[in-house]
Amino acid sequence: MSIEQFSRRSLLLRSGGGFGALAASTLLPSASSGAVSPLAPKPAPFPAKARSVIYLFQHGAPSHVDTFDPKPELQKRDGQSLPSSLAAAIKTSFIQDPANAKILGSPWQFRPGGKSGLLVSDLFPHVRERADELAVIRGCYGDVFDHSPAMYLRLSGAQFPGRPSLGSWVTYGLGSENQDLPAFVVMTDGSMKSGPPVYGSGFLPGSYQGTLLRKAGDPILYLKNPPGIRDTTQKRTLSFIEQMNRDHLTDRAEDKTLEARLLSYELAFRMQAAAPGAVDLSKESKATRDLYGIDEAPTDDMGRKCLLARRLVERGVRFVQLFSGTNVGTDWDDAHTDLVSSHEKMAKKTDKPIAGLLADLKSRGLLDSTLVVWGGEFGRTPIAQGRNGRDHHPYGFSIWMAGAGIQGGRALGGTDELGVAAVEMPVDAHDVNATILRLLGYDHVRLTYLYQSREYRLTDVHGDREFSSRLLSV
Amino acid sequence: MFGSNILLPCLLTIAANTAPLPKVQATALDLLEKHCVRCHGPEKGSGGLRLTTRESAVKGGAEGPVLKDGDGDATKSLLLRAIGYGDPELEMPPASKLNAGDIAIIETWVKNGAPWPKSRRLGSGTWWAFREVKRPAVPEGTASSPIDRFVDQTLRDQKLSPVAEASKATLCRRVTLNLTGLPPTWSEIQAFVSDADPGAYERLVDRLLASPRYGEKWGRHFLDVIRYSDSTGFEQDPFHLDAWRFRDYIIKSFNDDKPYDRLVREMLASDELSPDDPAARVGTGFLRVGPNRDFLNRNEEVNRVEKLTDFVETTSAVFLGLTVGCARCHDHKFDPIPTRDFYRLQAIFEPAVYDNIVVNYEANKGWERSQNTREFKLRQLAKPLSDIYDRVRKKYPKENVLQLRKYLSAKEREDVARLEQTIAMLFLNYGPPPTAPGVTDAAPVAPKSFVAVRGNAKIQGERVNPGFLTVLGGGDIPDAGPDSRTTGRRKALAQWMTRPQNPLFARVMVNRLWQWVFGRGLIATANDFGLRAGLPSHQLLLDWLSAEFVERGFSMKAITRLMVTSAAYRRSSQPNRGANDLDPENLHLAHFSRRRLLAEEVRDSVLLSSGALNPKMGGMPVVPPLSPSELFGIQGRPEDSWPVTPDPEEYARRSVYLLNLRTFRPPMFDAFDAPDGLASCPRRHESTTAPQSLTLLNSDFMVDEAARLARKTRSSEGVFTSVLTRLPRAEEKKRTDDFVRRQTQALGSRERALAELARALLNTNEYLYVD
Repeated sequence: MSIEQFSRRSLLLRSGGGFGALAASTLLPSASSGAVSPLAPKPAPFPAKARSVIYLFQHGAPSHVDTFDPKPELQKRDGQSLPSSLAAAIKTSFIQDPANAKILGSPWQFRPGGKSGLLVSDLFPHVRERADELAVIRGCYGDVFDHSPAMYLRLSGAQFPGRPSLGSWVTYGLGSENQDLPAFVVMTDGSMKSGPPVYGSGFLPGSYQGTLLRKAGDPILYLKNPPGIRDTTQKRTLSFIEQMNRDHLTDRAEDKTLEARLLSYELAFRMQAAAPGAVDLSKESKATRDLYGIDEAPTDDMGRKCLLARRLVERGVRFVQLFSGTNVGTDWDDAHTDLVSSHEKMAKKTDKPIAGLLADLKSRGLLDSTLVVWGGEFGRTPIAQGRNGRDHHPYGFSIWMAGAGIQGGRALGGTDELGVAAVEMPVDAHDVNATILRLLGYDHVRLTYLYQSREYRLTDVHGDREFSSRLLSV
Repeated sequence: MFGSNILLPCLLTIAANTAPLPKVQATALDLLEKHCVRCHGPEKGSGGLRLTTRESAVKGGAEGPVLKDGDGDATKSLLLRAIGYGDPELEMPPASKLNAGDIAIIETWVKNGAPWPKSRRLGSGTWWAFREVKRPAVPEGTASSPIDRFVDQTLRDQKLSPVAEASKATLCRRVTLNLTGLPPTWSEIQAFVSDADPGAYERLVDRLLASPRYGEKWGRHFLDVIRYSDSTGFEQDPFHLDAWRFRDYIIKSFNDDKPYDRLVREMLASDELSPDDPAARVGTGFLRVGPNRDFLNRNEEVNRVEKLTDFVETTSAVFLGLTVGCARCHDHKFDPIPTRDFYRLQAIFEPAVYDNIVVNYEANKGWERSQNTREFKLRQLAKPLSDIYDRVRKKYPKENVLQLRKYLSAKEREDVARLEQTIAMLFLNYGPPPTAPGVTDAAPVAPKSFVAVRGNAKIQGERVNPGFLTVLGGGDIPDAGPDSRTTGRRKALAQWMTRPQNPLFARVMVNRLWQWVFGRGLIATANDFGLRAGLPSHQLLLDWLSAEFVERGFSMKAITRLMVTSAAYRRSSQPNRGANDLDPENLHLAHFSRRRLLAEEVRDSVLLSSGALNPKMGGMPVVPPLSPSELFGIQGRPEDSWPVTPDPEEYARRSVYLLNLRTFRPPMFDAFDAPDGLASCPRRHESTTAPQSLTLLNSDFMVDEAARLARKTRSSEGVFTSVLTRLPRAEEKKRTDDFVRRQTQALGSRERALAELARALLNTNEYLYVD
């Protein structure tokens, strides 16, 4: 869809949805243009709590009973079998016979954090200090126990690749407040079990695609001038292209698409100017860098990502999707064979940077307008895989949210006494995504996109248990 | 290899399925549907009466209520009087009286208060798209092409006037890119422009349709629709190793102008229809090149169901233009497709199992021998390799297996590299297997089929027989005879699908052809002809083309030729003043709609302009090298997931031959809206984004090709004419010379300055858009 077509469509969408007319201020400053960027900021239909989202996705799935869902009963029954009713509920990837597997108590202590005394395990001592910001949602569940379908489910609402991701939906709904930077930025540790479709734009136009920041080479692909081309040379080439395009446009003035392409070169150029500054962490004070654990061995990489996330939302980027863990290196999934070392490794890498991010957002007054989400594709079995492992477990697990006016320092919902099934305030991926949209000012049933005669939404026909009011209420 | 590919592993335990179902008696509503709503339905409401819902029927028409008389007496109602044929002024249906049994059914129903479930909406079955195609008369007019007679009539009705014909150079570029996906060269344009023969354009069209480049472009269109890919999607995104044979089959079918009905019969059931023709049997690869998650094998039942859903959805969307997917869980909300029909269709595919088709028997014998040798050698090589890793693993038991490499000693590292290279060479020299992916039935009988309640396969609902969509006439597929090798279900589907009376089969495909020519279908939603799709922009034209398609033996080239030789196609892309307000989407074709190059066209055009394009056709997927930064994010180790082709000559092959993965697209394709192969893509987006501009400006590919072009042409005029296929105008010449002079100063070399000129021109709208 062209930018020009978009403007027509978005007007239709708004009048159809009753959101009121497109504000004149959303027009991009462009010489003679009637072209509207699909990424122009759009007001949310309802009062929004958050302006931006930072989603800290934990690739490979951390264990809930070892992090944010303490289960004293698990310690007591360590080495015993699960009651058969609970065992029957578990079907998973590697443990063939849950009834014969042994309960595995958590190797970590849970201790109270902050003024609230919210219990967090020793895996996350730094995050625990920020406990008063966290609302832990302990009744999460899903229905797939393999990584890639579960990742698609959490982040795109369907266990099959091909649907638009959460970040794409949000960008489609709200646009971006900074036209010189991508609206939806993705950071990963490299290869993931889901592959790129987990942050893809599916059937939404390419404008809503996540921009992947690369570890190797340029942070944004093709941002740098070609080898040996200095800025002045590049500028001359760009202005030659512009002259040719302006001539071409003279007798094609009615075509907004051609004009939009001129604009896209302008944007590319502005991005070339703005992005390096946005990703340059050298201007940050030593205190800030230390807060995130930058320049320290295990935390440096995640620290840089979290600091970058803050810099991006500070500049108006709408959605930062961050993934910790890679399937060709370390991720939470190494817990299959070694719970202790896998979780210690991943927690050490991420604990301080995440706590630093929360503290930094708070001290800069950004936390109120930023929603921070932490969670993986599922939890891990309270029973052992082998001697010291835990298998995939989608039947009950935890995520947490912070910022965006959420009342922290508490847990909502819960699993049974052994951490097997979500029993209290059970919520699935759709409910969580509906809640995220609601905090951004969208009713999840009204954020729709017409594709092949069907109005699609992120939450499909689900999401009825949207729980933002629980998060916000005192 | 064969055994592990079984789709339905449990077929041998099937009991014969012989018990016939009781015949369901027609209800009164079925009778109204059949005999009344054609005139008293959603499209036409004769006499103000629409018998579509209970409310509208109770309300009645111009003559008042029809279910009761003025005193509330049902027995004297207008409806019963009309069907009773007692009053010569009021006989319904007008053609002939219903039989006594049917009249009795309606009488009983009316007397019982005309029960009518809320969900039952009559008349959707008589939707225009569900009616048989009747060849309409070609409107009067002066145009020689029947297409233009229809188009001109609408233009007159809309009070729009068409613009003049495009210039010859524009036309040459338009039709060449349209039919081959490549721009014409400057000399081709010159030859066409100077050819004053009145039949020059038609000759150009014929040459392009006969070019093998045609199948590469139009085959790619079709591959979008049938969700082709070289990998399966999901975790680790495993390769469909020999899917490319199916890709080549599609390209060849387009080049050979294989009749579309035959193509579809082969795709659905060549194993049953022409079991002895390996070339045709490759067609069933259609059911193999879709996404699957066989790799996640603890969910076999889910995987099986999802695969069947893909078969049903894709088959219906591609060949019938119907979105039956909704009916998996509930009756379709808009179209007359009940859940039962979804499972009747699904039952057709249930007996299908994976089959590998030996396309060349002799080669296969040799291949199997070499496979044995290779496996023997592989075992010999694998042993020392795993010994090395086992030793390291013992030392570092907690380390991730993929990280073990870093603990190798220098000697071990050397040994590992040598062994790995030998193994790699063993694979590379080995060549592709002489087989193609396909399906066939495991046995002539299949297990019983049931509705899955709310789409949940664990909740067994009503039993269903394999059969066709009720709205298109329905019908069950009988059991296969005792001598059959297969169930005959897909064969029956193929024959039912491609019969000339199928109202959707020809319509849906001519609409796609129209879209591939004009950019937008006569129905814009090419995969949905249901009630939500609305009416075509030119309904009679669509039907005329469909009738013509059938009459011309389903020749896609013949219909395409009709379209591209029409005056509507040859118009300038310069609209009349104000046309954008009157007809913003150019539905009425007063001018030609400008379009952006498709992702593949961008890359292929650049390769052609630079002189690098390698015209070799077919074969295994080509994997050109990408930088680590470009490959960032690909699943698994890039060297495994993106195994670069050894021969550099291959890197400049056409884009349709590049490795096509479901979870990773090369960044240029990603930026330019290439489809992901995860579901049928009926029409691509045409987005305009900053990453596109960055790709065209700064990617290695563009920089390399620009430099090649400069080396080849060696002059600014050469660069200009190679890219824009015309001479520069005077002021452009000055601008160009000035640019080259200044860039030569900046870069210290004229050749590098010319490369800059090439890079700039390859970025212009004139190059990226088709007028």
